[in-house]
Amino acid sequence: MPEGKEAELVARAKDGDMVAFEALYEMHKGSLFRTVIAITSNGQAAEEILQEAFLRAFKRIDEIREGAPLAPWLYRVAINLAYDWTRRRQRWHTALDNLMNRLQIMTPPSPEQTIEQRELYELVYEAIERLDFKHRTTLVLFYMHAFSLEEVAEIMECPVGTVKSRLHYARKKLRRELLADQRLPRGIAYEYT
Amino acid sequence: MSTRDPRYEDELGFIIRETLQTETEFEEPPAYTWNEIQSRLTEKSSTARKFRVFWLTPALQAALLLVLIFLQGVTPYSYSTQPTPVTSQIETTISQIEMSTTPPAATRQNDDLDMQLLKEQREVVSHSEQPVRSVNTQPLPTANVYVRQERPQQNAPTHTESSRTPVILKQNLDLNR
Repeated sequence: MPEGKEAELVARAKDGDMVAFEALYEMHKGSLFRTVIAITSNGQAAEEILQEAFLRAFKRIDEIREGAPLAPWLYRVAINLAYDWTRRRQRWHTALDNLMNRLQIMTPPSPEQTIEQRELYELVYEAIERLDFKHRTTLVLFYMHAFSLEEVAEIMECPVGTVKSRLHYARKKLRRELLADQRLPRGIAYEYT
Repeated sequence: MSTRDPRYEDELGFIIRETLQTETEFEEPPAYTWNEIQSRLTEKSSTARKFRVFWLTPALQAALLLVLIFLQGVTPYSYSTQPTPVTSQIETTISQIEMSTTPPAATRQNDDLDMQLLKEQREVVSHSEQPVRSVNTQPLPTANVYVRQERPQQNAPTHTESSRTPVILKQNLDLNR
């Protein structure tokens, strides 16, 4: 997205321009929604977190520095909300809920994708879901949205070294999980890990 | 964006990226406008506020109820176990009344005479009564029978005539002598 245009919209929103704020909402809502859904694996929770994140952004838009990109700030709010949601959910989490969420997340396979690829994605996605919140969020931010290590550190409010450490352990754990998964063909498992 | 660290851009990184993008690419946020979201959130916060008030009121009510129950439980207990000056004064008065209503000996004798008269009246009445017409063959319960016992008169002498007799006889014997 053009950074100049976003900075201009933020400046207008700070002056109370509702049209500018709505433009910012339209600009970020898709990617933010997909990020939250990748972290929470729950469409309804992602919808609520998205709305809450933009409401907080609307109330605290004055805190955004002049010329600073909105995305890191917005993602930080959304991830904090997702973290709160995940903690609350852990108390009520059941296997049945997990299955229902999985069915909601699953998308119909496109004709171009082979069944093998489809299965591989599902297994990797399940393995990512089993990671703890911090490792999962680091992977999502780094790989899904191609944020840099510095940007991930800013969003997660931690040093860059911590982000590197989390990436290292998340990948290590994921690799171990995929190799141990009996459903994954051996050839594919070693090819990707 | 800064340059990507090549350590994380291997095959595993590639499959992680592909998986995350593929699994969420069809996920779209709800088609709400910002105004709709604002109104929904305002409604939600007002509902939450109402719930807080609703929740608080029964809590206060329950607390008041508990206080009332506590007070009701304590008050009779204190009266029943610790006699106050008022209750002891009442007890003294009641005992005084009981003492004053106890009949003396003379009154009891008059009562005995009254009972004797009452019995005589009943005997007269029972003689004049007509027989009861009844199909019941069972004997009717008899009235209480007061057995009159001879009591010594109030002013009667403590000695009897027989006690004097030996004295007279003795005198007569002496005269004969």
